Amino acid sequence: MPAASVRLASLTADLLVHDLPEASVHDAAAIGRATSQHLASLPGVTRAGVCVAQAAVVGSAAVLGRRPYSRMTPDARAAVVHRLAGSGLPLVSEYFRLVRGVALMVAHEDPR
Amino acid sequence: MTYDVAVVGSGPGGAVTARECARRGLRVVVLEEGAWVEPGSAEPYSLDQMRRQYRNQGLTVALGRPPVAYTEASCVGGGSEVNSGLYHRADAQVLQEWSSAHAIEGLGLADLVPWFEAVEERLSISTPPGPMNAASDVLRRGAEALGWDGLDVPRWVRRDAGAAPVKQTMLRTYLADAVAAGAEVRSGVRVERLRLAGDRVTGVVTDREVIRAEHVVVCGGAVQSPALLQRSGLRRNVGRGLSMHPTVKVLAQLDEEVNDPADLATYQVKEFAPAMTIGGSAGRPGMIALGLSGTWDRDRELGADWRRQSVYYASIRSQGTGRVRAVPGVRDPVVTYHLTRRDLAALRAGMGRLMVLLSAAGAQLQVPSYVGAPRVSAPEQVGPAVEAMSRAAAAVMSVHLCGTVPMGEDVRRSATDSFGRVHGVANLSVNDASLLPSAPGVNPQGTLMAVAHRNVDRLLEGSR
Repeated sequence: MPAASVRLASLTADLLVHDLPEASVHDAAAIGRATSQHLASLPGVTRAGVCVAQAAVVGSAAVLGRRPYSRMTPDARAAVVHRLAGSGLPLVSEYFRLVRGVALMVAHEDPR
Repeated sequence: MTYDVAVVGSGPGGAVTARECARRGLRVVVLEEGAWVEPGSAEPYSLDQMRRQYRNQGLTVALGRPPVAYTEASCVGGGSEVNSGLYHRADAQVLQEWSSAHAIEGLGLADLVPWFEAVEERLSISTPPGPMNAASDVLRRGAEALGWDGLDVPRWVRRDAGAAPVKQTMLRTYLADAVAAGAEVRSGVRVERLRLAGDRVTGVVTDREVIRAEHVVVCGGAVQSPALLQRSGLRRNVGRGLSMHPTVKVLAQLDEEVNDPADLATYQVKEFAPAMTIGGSAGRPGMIALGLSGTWDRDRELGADWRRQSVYYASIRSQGTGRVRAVPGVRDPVVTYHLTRRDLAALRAGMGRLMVLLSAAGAQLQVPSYVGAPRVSAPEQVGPAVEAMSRAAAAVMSVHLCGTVPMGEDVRRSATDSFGRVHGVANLSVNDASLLPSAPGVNPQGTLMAVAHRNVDRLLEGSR
């Protein structure tokens, strides 16, 4: 899996900590991976836009969490992602709008 | 071997073309990029269906502010395999508008009636006997309470006594007829470009081989057809004028169970047609969750009641237009759409009318599908909820894309003549929804199939 897809899966799983609190860590990770795989089929130009938005998300997370996203604890990551998803920041909120929509579809439709 | 006709795309336009050509004894090959999926093997409106039968797994979007999510089928049979099967003839006024604005010959309602009848007979167009489904009945109740016009829309469904209704997709009808008449259907084949020599096309270049043909008919739909023409160097009036039906949705919760995850409301409110239509959308639990995703923090608990919920829509004939551009080195074309201020106002008006109707039908609770939308539980809350839908918050989607290879005799505005023959290339035609100058205000499949019949008949007359 490319690094951007791994990061997308991780951000999705962190989003689901608040969005689907009943989901286990294992399930959230599985939904994250399936969401990332689904989004990999976006048309090329849109996919490039999503990658740019994801870079903005990771940068914003680092500012908000005061350390790189990859070095935060799981709880800190989930808290930061939840704040960013509701922030209304251009690009960042649109990124989470897309990810949340697909993740919810996957969570309701995919057998786990 | 050189085929008489290569048909690129196997949706309704391609299927009609292939059947009619094969029945006249021509050697026909149909090239379809998507997979062959047996009808009924993917659950309707499911994520599985999106993955197997939709282009980009259903994640296509026209860029703009707001972006407009749209879907395109990618499978043998095209949109007919995945859509709801609702059948309409084009409005006479719309046909007149197209004919005069684009100098199109032979496109009056009287010209098309024989072709509409042919389509209706082959697809077993009918309205089901007996009561409507519960989601439809909500719309009927609301419309009747308000005195608005509406109807249970006929569908391409065969209803044999004692058997379950069977949707008459292209695979079950026109493509089956084409194959029976000797046509060859190849799935999983992407046509990269047309092979042109001077003012003629000599075949197509696929991702596997070159296929030679005396005549090529492009039927890839309103996004893929212009993209293929552009990749082949044919750009005059191609790709501009993208037209669609921008649509907004509202989730309604009723007292009673209304949700059938395998079906949707077939009743449509026509009081404001063709400018605006109100109808029902698919409502599987995943779709319900998607509809609530803009207000998920507040509304996630509502999903548990999905059996009492259904998703309804208001769609408009748009003043805005978009564009399809093939970009060298990039597989998928870039699609853009500009929603005008008037369109946004029309969408707000549509959402308002829809919520008034759902209130009149007895909806206890409504959630408009846009980011940060309020809950609506009383008629006086409709106005503020509508006003709060800003351009940035709006969640707009669409189907029924048209207009990117417009037909007509005015060469300054059209890409083909009145019958789909591409200007400047003697033996190349287009025969799909991209010919229709604008989205007609109803599901265009019936119209495009009638037009496709008419066009291929003219083409075959010329070849005799």
